[in-house]
Amino acid sequence: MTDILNEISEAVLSLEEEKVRELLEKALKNGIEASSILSEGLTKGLRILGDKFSCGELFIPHMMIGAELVQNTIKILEPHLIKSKEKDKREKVIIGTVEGDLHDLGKNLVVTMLRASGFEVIDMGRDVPNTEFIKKARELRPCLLCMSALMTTTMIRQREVIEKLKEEGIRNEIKVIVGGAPISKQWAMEIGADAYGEDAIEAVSESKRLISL
Amino acid sequence: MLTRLEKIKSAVSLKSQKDIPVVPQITYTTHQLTGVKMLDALKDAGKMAQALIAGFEEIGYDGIYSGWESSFNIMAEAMGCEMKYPENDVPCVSRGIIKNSEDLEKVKVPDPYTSPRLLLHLETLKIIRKHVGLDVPIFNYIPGPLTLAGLLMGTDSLMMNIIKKPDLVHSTCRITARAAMSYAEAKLSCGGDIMVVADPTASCSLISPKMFETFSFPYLKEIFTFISKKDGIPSLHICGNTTPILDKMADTGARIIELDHMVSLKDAKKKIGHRVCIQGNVDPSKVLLMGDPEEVYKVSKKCIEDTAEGGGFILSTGCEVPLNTPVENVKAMVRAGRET
Repeated sequence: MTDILNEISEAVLSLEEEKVRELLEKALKNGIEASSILSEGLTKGLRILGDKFSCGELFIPHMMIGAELVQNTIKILEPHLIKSKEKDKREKVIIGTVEGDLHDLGKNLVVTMLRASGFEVIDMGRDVPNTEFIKKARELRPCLLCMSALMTTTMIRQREVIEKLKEEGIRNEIKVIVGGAPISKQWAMEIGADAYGEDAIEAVSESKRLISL
Repeated sequence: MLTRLEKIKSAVSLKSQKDIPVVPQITYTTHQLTGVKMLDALKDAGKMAQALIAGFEEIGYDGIYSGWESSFNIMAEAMGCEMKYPENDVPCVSRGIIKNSEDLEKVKVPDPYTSPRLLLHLETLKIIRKHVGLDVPIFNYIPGPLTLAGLLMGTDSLMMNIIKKPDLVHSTCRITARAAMSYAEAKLSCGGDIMVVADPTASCSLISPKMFETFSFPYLKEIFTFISKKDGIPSLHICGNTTPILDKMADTGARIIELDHMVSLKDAKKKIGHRVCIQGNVDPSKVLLMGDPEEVYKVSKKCIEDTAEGGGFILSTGCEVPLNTPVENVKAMVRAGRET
């Protein structure tokens, strides 16, 4: 069993989408649990990709193709996953790029990686007004809010949203993580965020850490 | 006593310097000094120039960046991209236009003298030049070919096309390189001195050194050869991590290399300081925006200490000065350069 799962993660790493599709079908036919195929095959491959990106061996183009590959092929597993794990039990995460900011490359990577890790991710897109973040937070009561800002002119929105969460009295119910090029750990602390992700990989590992708290 | 232009030329010629030239990358932030509204400045060369001149006169740095922001956004607009115009921020591209090779035919190199937004920037330059005279060096952002290609395709598509559709990337960069050269030529004719090709998408924060060599280097080289032939001073600005590609950046023919805050100036000086002028690299966000004058002064002094020995250094920020940066902080940078 582990051979097929290893082959899947290898194929993700070498960005071979067709091969991944074939292997996923094969694994399902062989009766392997869909959630294992996801975690030991797809997610593992994406995680190794992420590690190689973090240490400078691979770069954004590889990460993006890998993320797209997983996003496309996870559909093969989805019908089988819902059977094995109740949809409602998945942790909810809302994520978006702040108002006035149209950058979403990193944010999209985080979306795919969190989904591949089993979270229910509500991707609000880019240029998301503060009021929309708050509205969604009230409506869905997620465990985590992720905000991305790639310009020094828009990063201030991250602070504003956190202030608004406090005003609305829901700050304590939800963890907040921030990221983006001009963002630093110092900024995250200053604005009262719970965590900071220097890149998509750290964002995902920090998100998982926060959710498990 | 050297004029400001002489100070810059001396730095570019790698001559020993007593006075360190200070040129923070400050453009749209100057609107906060004059109360000129962002959207108004974008439509009026007089207002844009007024703000940029006010910044220069108030703070006293050694060169003026003419233009409202790194030019790839206005060029993308001139080439047909859909834009978003926030009330208090620089415009940006909301949708790209190149998906496949057929789309390339739709894209033309705009004429800077007739394309409204480009023409506005040329007029701003002329007004500034007239006001400050010939002794003040004027820096001009020119759109980097790879970054502009990213705006035309959508940067995430560009990232994937680098692996999946390399020919399309090359075809697009051939056009964007021509757009850059055409704009640089116009800026030189209108009185600009230093042509700063800004190409943030080419940094190793995004692509590998090998990808830089394949998809960025040849076009940068072509542009800089052109600028040098036209007697302009070519400068290369790639913010983000460029430590692995310093040598290659110097190989492009740029005579100034602008470095971002995460690159070690000390190491860069050792590697390429003997053949190019280095400019940088105070952290615009953490230090200049969020710090106080004392911290800015300290960090600026360290940059000078690491890089100025033997000449060939311009003190600057790692990238554009952000909105809401306290004026006193930028003044502290200038003081650091003067008090050597």
